[in-house]
Amino acid sequence: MMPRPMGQRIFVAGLGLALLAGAAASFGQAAGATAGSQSKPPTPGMPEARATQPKTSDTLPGLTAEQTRFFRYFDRDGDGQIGREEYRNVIVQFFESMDREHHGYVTDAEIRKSFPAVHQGEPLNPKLRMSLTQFEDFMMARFDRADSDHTGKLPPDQFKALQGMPE
Amino acid sequence: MRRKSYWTRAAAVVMAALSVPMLMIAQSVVRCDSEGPRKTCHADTRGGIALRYQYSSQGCWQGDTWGYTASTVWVSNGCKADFSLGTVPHTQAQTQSQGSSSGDVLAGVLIGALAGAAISNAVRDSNNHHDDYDDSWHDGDYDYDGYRRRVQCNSDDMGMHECRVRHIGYAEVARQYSGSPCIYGRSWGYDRNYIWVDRGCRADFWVR
Repeated sequence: MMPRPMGQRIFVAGLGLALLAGAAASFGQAAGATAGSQSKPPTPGMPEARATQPKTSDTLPGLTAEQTRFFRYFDRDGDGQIGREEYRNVIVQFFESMDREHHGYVTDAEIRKSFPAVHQGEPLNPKLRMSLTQFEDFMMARFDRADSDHTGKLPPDQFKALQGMPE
Repeated sequence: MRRKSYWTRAAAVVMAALSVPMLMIAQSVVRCDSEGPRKTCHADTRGGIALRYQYSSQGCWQGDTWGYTASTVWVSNGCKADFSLGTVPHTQAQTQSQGSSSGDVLAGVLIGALAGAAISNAVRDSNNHHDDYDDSWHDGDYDYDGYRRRVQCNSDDMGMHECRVRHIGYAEVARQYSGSPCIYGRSWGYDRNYIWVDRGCRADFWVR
């Protein structure tokens, strides 16, 4: 595969950042939103689904409370590590949220529209057209690189390093 | 005439030689997609299998919405993906990860510099939204882009339970708590207005 131009690589890195922002926002709102399903009394014989509020009081070693909440957004099975499958599912969902017209790729304009806080300035690559498979390749490459011991899972410290999460 | 025939045969040999590796590549990948019910695709998985590309935002979770036998791979609940068969090829992702070009280093630095602010802002914003919406939740106002809610449904006694959730278009497991597996169509599922769980499946579900 031909290496991508630096501008595009940087831009793609921005996608990762956009993913982080979107995922964190999604987590926070989704966790709070579940209270809504409690508002209506359950039908006899069919209980209302219980709203859930993931525990946010306990922080993971090496992570702040906010980082822990973000980490747990990915951690589907709650084993304290992020697997490739857990990571992949989140990034695919966010690709779709950016690809608003469902044409199979995202453009510079779509990304900036989805995450205006990330790309307020001039577009880095106005001609960008990134497919889902390209996006998966790039993001999974970052995962594999962070997975230095080749376990297929990232504990909190590796996950933090992967995303450049701050101290 | 003889000269032309020679070149024609030579071209045919070259094309045949090229087609062999292409055919091998084609045979090493199987695309399997479902629109809801389980779909089974023929695949020789004896040499190994790995999900290569996921095309659906509907989750592909091994053991829940995709899996395999020696001769098939199956998907369900909207999972769509390419699967690599045999010895898992050296993926583009893995190839890229070996590189350390200056551009990639710069990209990493850029992420590091910006991610902190973005995450902090996102979490703070989401907390603010939570406060704003605390007393006014109603269907459709749940979360990011308004397309996901998170609810819990438990088969506490190993039996069938139905949990009422309004306006379900799609659901998937967000977090499994049970040791008993949650497998779509077998131990959990959903209809328009409820999620059902069975056989000890206890989980949070994303609903949209």
